[in-house]
Order: sequence, then C-alpha cells, then structure tokens
Amino acid sequence: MSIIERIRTGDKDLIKSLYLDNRLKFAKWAHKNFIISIQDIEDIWQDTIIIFAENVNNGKLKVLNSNVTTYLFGIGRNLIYKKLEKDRRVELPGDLQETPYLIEEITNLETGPDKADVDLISAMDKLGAPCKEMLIKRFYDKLTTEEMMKMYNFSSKNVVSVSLSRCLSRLRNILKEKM
Amino acid sequence: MDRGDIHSLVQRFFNEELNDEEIDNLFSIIRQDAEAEQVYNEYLLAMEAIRQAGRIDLKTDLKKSRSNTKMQIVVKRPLRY
Repeated sequence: MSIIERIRTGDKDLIKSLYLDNRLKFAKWAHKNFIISIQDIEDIWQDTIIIFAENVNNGKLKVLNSNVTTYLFGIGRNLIYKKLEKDRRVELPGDLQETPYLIEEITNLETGPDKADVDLISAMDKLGAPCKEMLIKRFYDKLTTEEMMKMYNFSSKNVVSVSLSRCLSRLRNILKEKM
Repeated sequence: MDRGDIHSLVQRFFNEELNDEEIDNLFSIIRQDAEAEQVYNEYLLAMEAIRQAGRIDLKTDLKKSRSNTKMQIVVKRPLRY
C-alpha cells in the first residue's frame, strides 16, 4: 500500500513517523537556509505535516511525483517564506526560487483558534468521545463507510450511515443552541 | 419536500452519497427555499466544527511526539531584525 493510500485509510502512525523521522532533518535544513527561530521551525514542521495529511485526505494530493520528504520540505519551505513575509523583518538568504504548484497546496493555515473556532470545538466535545471520533474519521480523515464498518465491527454499512446521521444531527443541534 | 427530507438529502450530500442529478436538485432547492438554505448552512457549520476538531486532535498527537523528542540545534548566528 502506498503512503497516500495508507494516510487515506487513517494510518496516523505513518503520519507520526513522517513527522518524527524528518523533523530534525528539516530543522537543520531550515536553520541553515533561513534566519528563523527553532520554535518557529517546530511550528512550521507541525503545520507542514498537517497540511500534507489534509491534502491527501481531501483529494488535492492523489499521486506523489517526488519523494515524500522532498514534497514535505516543499510545503515547509513555502510556509517559511510565508512566515518570513508576514514578519517582514529579516532578509532571506540564498535561493528564493518559488515552486508555484506547492504554494497551491497551502490552504487555511491557521495560527490559533479564535472565539468562533472555540465554540465549534466545544460543540464537538459536547458530543462525547464515540460520536466525535466517528465524525472525525468519516469527515476529516475521509474514511469510507466500508472502512468504518470494518474498523468499528459494525454489521453493515447502513449501521455506519445511521450512526453518523445521528451524530451529525446531534452536532447540528448543539451548534444551533450556541448560535 | 418536508424538513425531514431536506435533512436527509443534505446529510447524504455531505456523506458523498448523492449523484450529480441529486446534487443539482439539492442546490436548486437551496436556492429557492430559505429554510433549506438554513439547514444546509447548519450542516456546513457542523462540517467546519469536525474539521477544526480533527485538526486539533492531529496537532495534539504531533505535539506529544514533539515533547518526547527535544530538538537540539546549536544557534550559530544571531537573529537579524
């Protein structure tokens, strides 16, 4: 099974190992090429992995045309450019050649939750662990109902659909109360 | 189409169970019916809540990994501002 397929089927251990195995390498590379703090590098590397996983799950990335490390470093590099541009306080040394196709992969980069986000997140917490986990598996990790049926040992895909519908309705009602 | 049908249709849309014709039909209903639009927007918000929670869960997992392996890099040059 390819890296893309494994992530698509919710293999979070693989995501963690990509994060850990390349972390120091990325930090050294970033430190050598940019004037940026270790803390920022750590944050950017974390965002890099999250964006990579989201791009795989939402179908933006279907095939890897390069080594996964190269791809991750491409995302990370663009995030560093973005960070430095935002700060507007340092000169960028070295080669500034852009890779536009990777810039397209950077979406919805967030620095932290605002109040509206906190409301949304607390609504998810109110659902309780089983419902929350199922909704995340289906709509964030993008597992299919068949994959979920096997994961939760349900008797049919229909049972998965009904459970998801109930959880989604409850979430919607919790959100309505908050609005 | 009653409210229950709209709920079911919107849920099936987000669950990627609708074909193109049904999606067209749903969007047409949403354009014409303010109540259907509201239901759709409520589910859209629910999807955003799931996305935010999923992101935070993943971030929390990675942070645990991060705290287990402290990064040691010697800063060879001062930051220039």
